[in-house]
Amino acid sequence: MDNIFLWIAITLGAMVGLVSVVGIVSIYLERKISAFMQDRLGPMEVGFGSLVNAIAGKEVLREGRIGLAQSLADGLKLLQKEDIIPDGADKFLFKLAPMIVFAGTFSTFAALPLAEYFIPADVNIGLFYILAISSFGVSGILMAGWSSNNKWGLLGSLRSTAQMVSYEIPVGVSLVSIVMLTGTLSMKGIVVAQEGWFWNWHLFGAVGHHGLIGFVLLPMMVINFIAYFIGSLAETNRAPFDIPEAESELVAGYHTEYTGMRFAIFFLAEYGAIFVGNAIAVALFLGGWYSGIPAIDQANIPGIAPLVFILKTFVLIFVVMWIRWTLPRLRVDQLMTLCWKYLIPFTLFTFFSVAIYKVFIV
Amino acid sequence: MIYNQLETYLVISAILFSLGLYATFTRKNAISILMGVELILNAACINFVAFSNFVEIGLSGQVVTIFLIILAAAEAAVALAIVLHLYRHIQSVNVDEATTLEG
Amino acid sequence: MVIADFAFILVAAFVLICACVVVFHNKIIYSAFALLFCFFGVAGLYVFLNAEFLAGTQLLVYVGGISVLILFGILLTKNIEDLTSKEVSTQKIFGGLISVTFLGGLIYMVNSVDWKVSTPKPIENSPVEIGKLFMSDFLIPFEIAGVLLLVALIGAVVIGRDTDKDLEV
Repeated sequence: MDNIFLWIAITLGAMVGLVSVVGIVSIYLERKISAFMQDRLGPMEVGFGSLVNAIAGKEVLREGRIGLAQSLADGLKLLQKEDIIPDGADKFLFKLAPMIVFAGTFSTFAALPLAEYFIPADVNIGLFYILAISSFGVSGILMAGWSSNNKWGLLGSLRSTAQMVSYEIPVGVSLVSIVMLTGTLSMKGIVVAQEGWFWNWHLFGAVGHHGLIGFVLLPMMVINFIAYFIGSLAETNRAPFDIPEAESELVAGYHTEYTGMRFAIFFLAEYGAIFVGNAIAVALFLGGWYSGIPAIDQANIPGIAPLVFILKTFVLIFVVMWIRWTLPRLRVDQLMTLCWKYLIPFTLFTFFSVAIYKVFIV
Repeated sequence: MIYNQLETYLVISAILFSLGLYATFTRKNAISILMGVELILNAACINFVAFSNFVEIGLSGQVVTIFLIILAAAEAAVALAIVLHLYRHIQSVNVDEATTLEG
Repeated sequence: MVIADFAFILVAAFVLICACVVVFHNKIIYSAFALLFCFFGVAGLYVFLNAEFLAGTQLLVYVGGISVLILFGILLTKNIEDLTSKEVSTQKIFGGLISVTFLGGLIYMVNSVDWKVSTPKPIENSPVEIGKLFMSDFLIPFEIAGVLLLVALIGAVVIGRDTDKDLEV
């Protein structure tokens, strides 16, 4: 019985650590990448040494050159900020909302297959669980928007919810194609199906397992992957789909009124959601913890599997940021057109193709 | 071992059912009434799943529950469309004020 | 197994408290959020009943779909900036009487009937089994459910459309 509590504590601790580290690293990357795109330097003053000095009250010297500790310092700053709750706000829901949003993201981490031996909860409906529990965050956003008693907040949250609910369809359908191909909902099972050389990844049609006929799947899977990627961008409210928090119209969307640590929690949840969205893409399309070269996987280097997984995920996150700092924002009608007229028909088409492949060819 | 007894679940669902019934009786707002109906449907779902687990009928109970969830989704969509339309007509969602069909 | 009992009591109490808030709170938005948490708790009950797949479905459809729909309905029909809008309840005595009678009757029935209970055993890979049932014993209901969803979709769009502006699109 003690073991159960110990196990729960270790798992939760590891998950909290993962979420925070992912959030901090993503924020740092975002600032550096945006600076690179705009031909400036980005954070470069705060290194770990100067951060320690500042906390200890000693003289702070400029010693960092790439600003590694910048997001950590920002987090500490946000912790100390005054926690403001607007006068007309609904206090209970206002305090509850960030927790709900964060819980929705945090719970999805439980089923991420970082390695064969490191899945906090290896349930046999893992993918379904992730899809289901992430819809919990939607209501938190609605709660935040309504309770802050602010028109921008409310409009932002309504836009965000409408967007997330509609983009759940292409995302869901594209994932169902993969589930149909592998015949399992377990994240572990889906990743294990892509073992071996990188052409066994679902993105490349799983040629190794199905033989050369698998090349028929290749275009379907590429369409699927792109549809999923666009859908996950929209689900996490990232540019070019960031109309819920469009600065020029809505100030900051549903978290306009939030300050200090509550705002930081929204931020952390957002970057956590980006990580999860891309981690699902890695697990389902890009071979999960397999490096794509069997020799590396079989070499039994400790810790290589989670490293490969996280590295692949961060490559995708880099693409997400690249897109954000390159493309302009879509209008609401363009957003809905893209979803209903392009993504859904395309994913339905690939869905039927995979069904035909599964029934008549394999 | 109360989590492993059929009666516990039946009592919980009975309480949910009565609460939903009370909401449909006393509320005036159409959306509140809809919420009561959803509670009643959930109570029925719990019953089906409980019987599917404790009585040897296989998974039929769970399948029926999925049909119930489908029905609830369809019902909620249509009901809310009706409520929105009502609101546009009489600027209210109070079911007592929707009296234009009276003879 | 004490832990399971404790967890079950927590979940059950959560469901019932949320249901009470849904029914008795006089702010409709609180009712709606409580309904969302009630659905969430019911998904927890399904997990105790060895129905993980259903728990997922419950979360996906009820929490992610129906609750959000209801919240949208409230926000589109109420004066949303008025945080103090109250909800009136009428016929409290009559409604309460009927509900309590139902509750008493149901609990009496639950206790008096001799249920033919067998020991529950978790079913391996229940999504596959459910899928097989859909394609065999429940094929016709399954097809009809698909048609029903299509009808509901089109019906909701037609009813919810703004008729004053007619068809300009």
